[in-house]
Amino acid sequence: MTTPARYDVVVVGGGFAGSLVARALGDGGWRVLVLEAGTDGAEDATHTFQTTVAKTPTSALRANALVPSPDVLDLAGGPGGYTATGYLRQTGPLPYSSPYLRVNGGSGTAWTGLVPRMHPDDFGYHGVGRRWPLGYDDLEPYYRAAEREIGVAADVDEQREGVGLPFPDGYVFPMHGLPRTYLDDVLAEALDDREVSDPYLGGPTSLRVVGTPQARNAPPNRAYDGGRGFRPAGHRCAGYASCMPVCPEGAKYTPRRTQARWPSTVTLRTRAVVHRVARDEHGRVTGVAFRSYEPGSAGRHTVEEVTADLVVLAAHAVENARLLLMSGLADGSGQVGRNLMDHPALLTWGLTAAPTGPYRGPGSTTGIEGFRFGPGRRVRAPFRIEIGNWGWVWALGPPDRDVDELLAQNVFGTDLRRRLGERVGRQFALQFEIEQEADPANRVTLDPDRRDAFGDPRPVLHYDLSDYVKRGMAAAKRVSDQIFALLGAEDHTAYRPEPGMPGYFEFDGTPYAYRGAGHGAGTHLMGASAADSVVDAWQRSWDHPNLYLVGCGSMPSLGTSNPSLTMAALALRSAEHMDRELRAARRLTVTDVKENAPS
Amino acid sequence: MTGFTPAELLATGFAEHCHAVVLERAGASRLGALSAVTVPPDPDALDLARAIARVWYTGVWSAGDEAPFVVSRRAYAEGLVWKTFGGAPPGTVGPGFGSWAAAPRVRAAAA
Repeated sequence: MTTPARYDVVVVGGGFAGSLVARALGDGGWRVLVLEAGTDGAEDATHTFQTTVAKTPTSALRANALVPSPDVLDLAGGPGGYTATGYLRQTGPLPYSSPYLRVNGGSGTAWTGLVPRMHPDDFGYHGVGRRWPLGYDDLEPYYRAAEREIGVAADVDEQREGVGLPFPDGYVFPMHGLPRTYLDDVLAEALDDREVSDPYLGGPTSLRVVGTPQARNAPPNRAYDGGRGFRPAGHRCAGYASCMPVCPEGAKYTPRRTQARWPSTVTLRTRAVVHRVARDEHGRVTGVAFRSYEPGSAGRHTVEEVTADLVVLAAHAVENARLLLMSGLADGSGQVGRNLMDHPALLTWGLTAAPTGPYRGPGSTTGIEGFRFGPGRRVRAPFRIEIGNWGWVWALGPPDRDVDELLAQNVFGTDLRRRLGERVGRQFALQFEIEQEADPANRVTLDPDRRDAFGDPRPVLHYDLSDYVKRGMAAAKRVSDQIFALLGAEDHTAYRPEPGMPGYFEFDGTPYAYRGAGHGAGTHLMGASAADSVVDAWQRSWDHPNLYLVGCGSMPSLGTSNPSLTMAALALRSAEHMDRELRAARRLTVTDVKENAPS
Repeated sequence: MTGFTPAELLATGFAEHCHAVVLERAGASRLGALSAVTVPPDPDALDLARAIARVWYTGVWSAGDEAPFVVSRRAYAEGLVWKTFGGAPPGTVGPGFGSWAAAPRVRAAAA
């Protein structure tokens, strides 16, 4: 038996949060080991994507049977409800519909790259869910740090005026806001300053199409950083329209970019599946044990151990909870694995009056922000409207579907060509990302009967939507109806209990169907008290002072913003705390040595 | 059958490969029977006509009980469905920064 390798810090997970924490601590001079369960990822991701029939979020990855990633294809709907196959077992009334990626870079390998900040209002309490132990002002400097690391393109005045976000005087984003799509302009022309009613609000809400901050390269802003400017990594976005799952030219941020900036003090091990976090009798964690494997080895592996002063779990909300439950750690509050949240997304889709040229540029460059805030959120879940630029792909599937539909009607030849052009060239979608409040009944547990290739229990998910969320969807649909009318667009939205709509349900006699936005959160949420939360405002376990649980799993509420930027800001803030703790411990050790040394 | 002219189809660089795939999957006799008629009269010929149109339009060969597959990168990249509205399949063409802001250019179908 060899002595376990020793590091200052072990980070579990080479995704968004883990890569950022590793960089910050590595820059501080700490010796950091990052253990990533997945493989290093495909060098040929673009090729894999192009030649895969179903272009889902996992379609740029080569399959890894030993460390599988949940996929949207694991779910199917039907008249009797949904069925779930694949890696995750699901037992709830409704499906948790979001994939996540177990590969180096994590789900940030195949993300949309939208990086809106949360609004100060999102950190407040609105009568449902859980409270944040910190506010917008606490996080603001770290939002700026995250926007630098990621490289965010946005217009600060538009964010200030169109969203109501406060920024320090003189702040500009690293890069100028991305140009809007032609579709955005068509919608803005028809919608800006028009009013629609929300059934749960007294008065009307005014519409405005507002640019969305993007993690993709645009011209740098010379005024950034007090006039020092910004040097983007990678090319400028050329509009490949495949950002999720893969940007062929590296114009979008992925955690691999942060990994390229790691100092030599950071070591990455891929194909290293942590299955246990070890602790001592005083409640401190001492290190981790992991399974090291070769791809295609049918589960054969060797177990290795490492020790560390500090352990950081950054393996995704579901996997962090799974690892804590497998290790029997951090659950003094009984909240580990509970409060699983996502952004259930209600999609509506239709045809604009004239061609708009979908599938050009990023998936979404603008949104409508007016339903995110205000008194309405006490009654129904708030929502953010993304204007969807890639036709009906998320709602129904790619245009292959339209081809099949017309062929089934024996439409061939010039008729086929003309009708497809008229149809696909006018497709657009609205994507209502709805806040879901923390509910302890939505949870991750372990499946003792179904184990992975290494013999470890797989996760079981129990998930449902509350009436609060469903009221948000009902409001969203009513708003959508009015927007389609203002646009003069043909509404083709229809929700049916069919295979492609596993998130189908009825509410107040009306059918709906949602998809998952990939924003899993809440499973080790932060709070002000050890009695009812898993981590403190530093994402530190209440029960184990040198164990940090980072990522969206720490968020007590998601607001309506895509959460990656907030996750990044939280990770950078926590990394500073870890650095202080490591330094304090080191000073203490040095002092001990001096005091005990013979004089 | 596709509504695109022979010149347009040849310009994709996929015609020869497409022909080979169809021959391999469907066989010369079925293909020969299909060539003989303009409107496919029987269900078998109709199915084959659909499969051929589908592979031209999407790059995916899908026929009968066979698992659908993308024939090649080029087949995907040259999928005709995208050309019907002046677009390109995701992940194949980077038309340039900000190009998405312009109104779409749509080439009309040949008469």
